[in-house]
Amino acid sequence: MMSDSITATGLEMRFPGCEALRGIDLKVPSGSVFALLGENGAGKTTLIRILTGFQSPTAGQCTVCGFDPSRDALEIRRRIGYVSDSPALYDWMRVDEIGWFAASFYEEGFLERYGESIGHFEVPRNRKIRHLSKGQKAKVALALALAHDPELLILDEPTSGLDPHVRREFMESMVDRAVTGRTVLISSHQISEVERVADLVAIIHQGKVRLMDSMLNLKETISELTISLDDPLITLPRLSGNVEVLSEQSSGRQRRMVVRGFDHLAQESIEARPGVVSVRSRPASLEEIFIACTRGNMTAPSDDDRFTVPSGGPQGKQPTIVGGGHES
Amino acid sequence: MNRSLVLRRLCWKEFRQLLPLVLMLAAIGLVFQVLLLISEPQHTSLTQNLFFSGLPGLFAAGVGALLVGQERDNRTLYWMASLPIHRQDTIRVKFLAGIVGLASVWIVSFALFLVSNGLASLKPEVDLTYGILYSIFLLSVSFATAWTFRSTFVGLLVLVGVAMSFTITANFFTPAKPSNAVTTDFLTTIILAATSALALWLGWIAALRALTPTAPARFSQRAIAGVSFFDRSLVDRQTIQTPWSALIWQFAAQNRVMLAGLTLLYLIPLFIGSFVIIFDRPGSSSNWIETFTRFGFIISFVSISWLGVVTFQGDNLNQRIRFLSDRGISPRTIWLTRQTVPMGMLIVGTIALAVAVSTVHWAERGSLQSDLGLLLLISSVLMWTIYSVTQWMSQIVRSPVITAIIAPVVACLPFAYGVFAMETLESPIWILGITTCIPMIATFRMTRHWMDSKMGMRFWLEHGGWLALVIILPAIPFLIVYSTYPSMPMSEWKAFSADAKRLHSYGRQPTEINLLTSRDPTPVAAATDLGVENELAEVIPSIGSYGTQNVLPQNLTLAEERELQLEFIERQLHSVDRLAPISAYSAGQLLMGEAMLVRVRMQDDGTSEELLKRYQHSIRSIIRIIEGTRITPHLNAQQIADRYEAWLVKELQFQGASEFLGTELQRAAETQLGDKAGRQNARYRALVVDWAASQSFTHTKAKKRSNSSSVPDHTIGKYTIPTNGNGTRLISKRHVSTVAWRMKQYLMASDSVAMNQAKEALAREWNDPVSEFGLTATTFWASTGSRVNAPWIFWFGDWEKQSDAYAPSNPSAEKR
Repeated sequence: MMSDSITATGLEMRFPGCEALRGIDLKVPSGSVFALLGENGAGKTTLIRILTGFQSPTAGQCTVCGFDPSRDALEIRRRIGYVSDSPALYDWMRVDEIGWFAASFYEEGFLERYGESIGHFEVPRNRKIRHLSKGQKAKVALALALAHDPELLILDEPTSGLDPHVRREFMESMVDRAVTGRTVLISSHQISEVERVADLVAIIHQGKVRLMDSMLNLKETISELTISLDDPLITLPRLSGNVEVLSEQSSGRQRRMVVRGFDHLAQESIEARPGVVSVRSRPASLEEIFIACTRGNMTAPSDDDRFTVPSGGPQGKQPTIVGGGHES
Repeated sequence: MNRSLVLRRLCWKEFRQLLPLVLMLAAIGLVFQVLLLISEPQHTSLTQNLFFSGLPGLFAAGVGALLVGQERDNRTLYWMASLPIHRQDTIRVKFLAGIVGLASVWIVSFALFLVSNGLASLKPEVDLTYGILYSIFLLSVSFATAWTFRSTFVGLLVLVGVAMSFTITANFFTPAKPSNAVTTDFLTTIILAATSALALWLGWIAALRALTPTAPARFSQRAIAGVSFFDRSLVDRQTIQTPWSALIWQFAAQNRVMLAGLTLLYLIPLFIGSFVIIFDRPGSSSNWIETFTRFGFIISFVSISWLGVVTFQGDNLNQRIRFLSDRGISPRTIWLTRQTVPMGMLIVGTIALAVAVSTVHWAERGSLQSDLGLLLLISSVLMWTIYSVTQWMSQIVRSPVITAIIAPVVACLPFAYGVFAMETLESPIWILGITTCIPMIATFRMTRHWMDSKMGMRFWLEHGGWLALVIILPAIPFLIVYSTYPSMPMSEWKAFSADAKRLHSYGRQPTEINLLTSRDPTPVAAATDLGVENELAEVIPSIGSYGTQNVLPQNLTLAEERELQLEFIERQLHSVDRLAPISAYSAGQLLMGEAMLVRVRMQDDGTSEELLKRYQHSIRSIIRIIEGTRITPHLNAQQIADRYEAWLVKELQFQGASEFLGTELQRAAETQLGDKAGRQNARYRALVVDWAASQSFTHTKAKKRSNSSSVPDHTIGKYTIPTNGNGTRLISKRHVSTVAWRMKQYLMASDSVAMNQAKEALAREWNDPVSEFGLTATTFWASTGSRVNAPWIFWFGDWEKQSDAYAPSNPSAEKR
């Protein structure tokens, strides 16, 4: 049975005037590529800082590789590879020097693997880091994070600055790592790249996990509906069954929704409504799911308006956010 | 683009950047201020140097690094260069902000100095103009070096070198006491102005070059590859180091320029120390020696304080430490590897200092002075303390530039506190030694937080706690003694304070009575002149020697001299109210001697008009002195009055005294002696006033200023209370209060039992057995056989019991 590489229960983090995390629950099994998605300020970096022991949570517990970050942060950091969005490097060292220096802190094989990565990334070995380009620095940081073959790799916006070739190649190499039983946590805005490699996706919005599921499940269960109506003033009643509306947009006689658990019966039910001209559904892309989950403010919806909220805003296309996805 | 708006915004930015430095310097000055207020105030020159050279000088030296170097390190300087702003405007505004900031620091410094010392203590030898010019010179050089050198620390090192070179060179051409002072000052001023202008011009060129957007950074391949600091083959052969050696290498390589510069900087005072020992001989120019010693001290101070700064600041730059933090390196290892190199340098530096000074000393003098070891020990402790404090600061303050600027002045704080702790709190040396280690413990404990950039509440609270421990630990022995030391009850304290306020009057100080100097002012000459040589042996003990203040005309007979002196005294007595006790005693001795000798002659040879007149004149003057000293609100004045009254009591008892005095004078003497209530009131008034003065801080300061440090704190009036070892000033004050309270109890005792109890308690507080004072034929005696100098020893003695007989309420007095 595969153990969990990361677990989190009720993680909360409050800063003065800001609730960065508001009860995060996570379980990331070992040997998976886990994508942590969220807009700017959603709490991704705070979560990663808590998982790596740089920050103590206000409430809640978590474990990383079986260790508690509050108590065993150093042990966790020795076991994992971590690349932050702005990696700290000794810019006065040369590329090969920093590898030689970092090798002192890890088991044998570090320097060889680092050398391979640097060669693969085509970074000049004898150049000082301060004279490298942003992308080259990112490559050095990635090479350093990978060189000790960590059981968990945490990457916070790892590919910013990398050219598309390297980015694609690097992301695909994450799948290979997962196959060997290693776990990868990627926090990124590059949703299309993540979509190709992630096994598990969590979308954080305003400090809460709005949605967490395997990529396969998401693609199977979340659809985008386009409903054409006779009259733009028609109000659709609640969708029946287990259908969960993630977002809804109104544009003239069309209603566009991202829904979860939409099936054939539900489609027939809508089509039978008076005024409904047609209902089209297709699997939603991860980007559409992300947009659906992260637009607007999170408010506690009442029962009455849980699934239908009047549209408004510019051009009448104000997106609608409905209740917490993972809670329903 | 609105240029004035641009300039205003630029000014706002620069002032905003300067604000932390100005505030930090003001805070440091304030801390010094507090220490000075509660500590010894006699080091006026030191505080003057601090406020008029230290704070403005530090600001001027650091402003370039702050406004240019820090912006370069943060890369905001290049962002500025990319904006549509004239380069000249950027440069001018930075300089203008520096000048305005410097003026602010000058104002703050001056205000802080005035608060503690007052304008009157501004010593005339302090050349404010020179100070201001020198700070402008430093500011100019600071900008020039900041624009010229890419490394902020290198710029600061060069600045120190330039500043010191200038000052030492200037001292070469400035004799210790120049006869042509105006020319020399003028010359120095011209040179300062010219050097400042040159520095500004060089800085201007460097600044224009630095801000030119089209000027690409030109790096050679060698520079890009970097000059290897260590054996490249280690990397090439892929030799893995232990974490320890790798981290030591990383620290040394990262700070190599700084460490090399500091080593060089440290070698200078070492050389200077040797120089001073070689040339410090009788006849050598003290100006040279003093200059070199001072600058050697300053340079070593700066170099060691920056050594402390290097400890953590190298890793603070661009948050480099996160590299190690991300990899889970243990904070203990990090702390030890950050400390190893600087502490190693410190130890080597200390040994080098000891070896150099001892060797040179031995070579020059042929032997080692006994105090050389102590000197070296003190130097080592100083160096350790500077390092300990500055490495602490380098972990707390995030900005390397601000840390480097304020480190030397922050390093002064422990010394100020140490002096305060030793002088005022009398902290044991071993506690101070432990205290110097607390900053090391603090950084060790907080390394993890520093590595993880956890600068939250806990970080500051814990550092605050360590700081509180640094402050409190040396004070603990004092606080224990102070809190358990007996003192007067609070109700009595209030009563004393209220009475002191009511009876206090410092408006007029007691006036001193001068004596005319005799050519031979000894009792022997006077006795010979009077023909009473035989009685001299009896008289001498109570006369003592004369004080000499004024010169008599030449070629006078002794009789003429005496006449002149007595006239002089009388004239003064009629022109003054209160009398200064010491001078009153001297004048009184002369008068008593005169009266006694005349009386003896009259007893032997019979009266004559002239002798009677002389006798009565002396007695009248003595009564006048008694009146003058009684209204003087000081305990020693009261004791003088007691002595004269005691003498007068005895004089009235001699055979024929009534006849010699005459009715009127006898009544005056008896009225004076019989005024028991007046005497008691005068004593109480003197007691509370002197007590209030002993508790008053301003009085202590004034006393210290007027009489250096020779006056101990455990005094009431002019009387030193014997102590049992707890001599700290604040504890002494408590002891003084206890004594004053016991004196009041003794003074106010209503019956003999209460009086004896109070007297015993008072004697215990005075650490002396109970003394009984009375009258012999010519002098006083104490039952213990020793003369105890206490303000209360004459109270209620036999003489006072006898003088009570002259009180109007006494039946025998009425009968007379």
